[in-house]
Amino acid sequence: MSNWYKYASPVHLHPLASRLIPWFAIPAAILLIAGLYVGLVLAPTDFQQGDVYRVLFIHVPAAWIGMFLYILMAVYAAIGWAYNARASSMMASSLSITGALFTFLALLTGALWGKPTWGTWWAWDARTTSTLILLFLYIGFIALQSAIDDPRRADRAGAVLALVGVINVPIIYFSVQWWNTLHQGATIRIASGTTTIATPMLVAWLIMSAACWLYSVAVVLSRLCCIIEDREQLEATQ
Amino acid sequence: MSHGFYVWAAYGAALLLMGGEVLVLIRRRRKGRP
Repeated sequence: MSNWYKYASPVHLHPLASRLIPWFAIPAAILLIAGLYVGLVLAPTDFQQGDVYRVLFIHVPAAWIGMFLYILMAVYAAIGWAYNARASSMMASSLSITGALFTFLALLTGALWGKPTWGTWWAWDARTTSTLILLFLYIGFIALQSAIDDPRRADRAGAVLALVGVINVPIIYFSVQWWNTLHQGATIRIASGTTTIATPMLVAWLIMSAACWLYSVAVVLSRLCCIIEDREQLEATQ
Repeated sequence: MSHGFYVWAAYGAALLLMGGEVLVLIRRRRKGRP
């Protein structure tokens, strides 16, 4: 167990992260191709929504990843702040870009699904609005970190914002239960293990979800390596 | 507009964003190497 603590040091974390990238990137690429084929070709047309429901194969994983990465980012930022662990703060910075990208993608694909089904690109619905706030929190975190020159101070300021903003995640998740929203409720309930979608559609969704998760891990690790290299270079010049 | 437009726009945007992120990271990692 004590051996794992050495990875709290960026010097030891960098080679580990570099080695892990292909183990996530290659399966992500394979699953993405398989997911696109199953989702766009094999999955049947929905009897009510027609073909537009296929947007959800990318929308749902993007929304889940956007929310989950924010929690992860806040946890890493908090550990970095509490224990002065640089690698942890670097991980938080790395997670923020991918989290923002997936949150933006969830909003964009949501709008593209909403226009033909709800009749509007955007509604000030509880879930869409709280997801927009999530995107602003990510942008705020990224902007705050890049506005402060000293990386240690930037990490601390980012950690405060990340921790304050984490309250928004349960609001997004439970918004469809707490308020009477236009956005539909959960289709897949993890707690009870039940689903209300047909098997071929569920398979396409699972493959696309796995592809997006693996992709996220690969790009976060890759960016982590870049951040470690940049910080080492900065510290060497100071 | 047909449903196909919305589907292709969504998948196109997703692939562009994800592909763009990968390209930026590849360039950044190449530049960082001594």
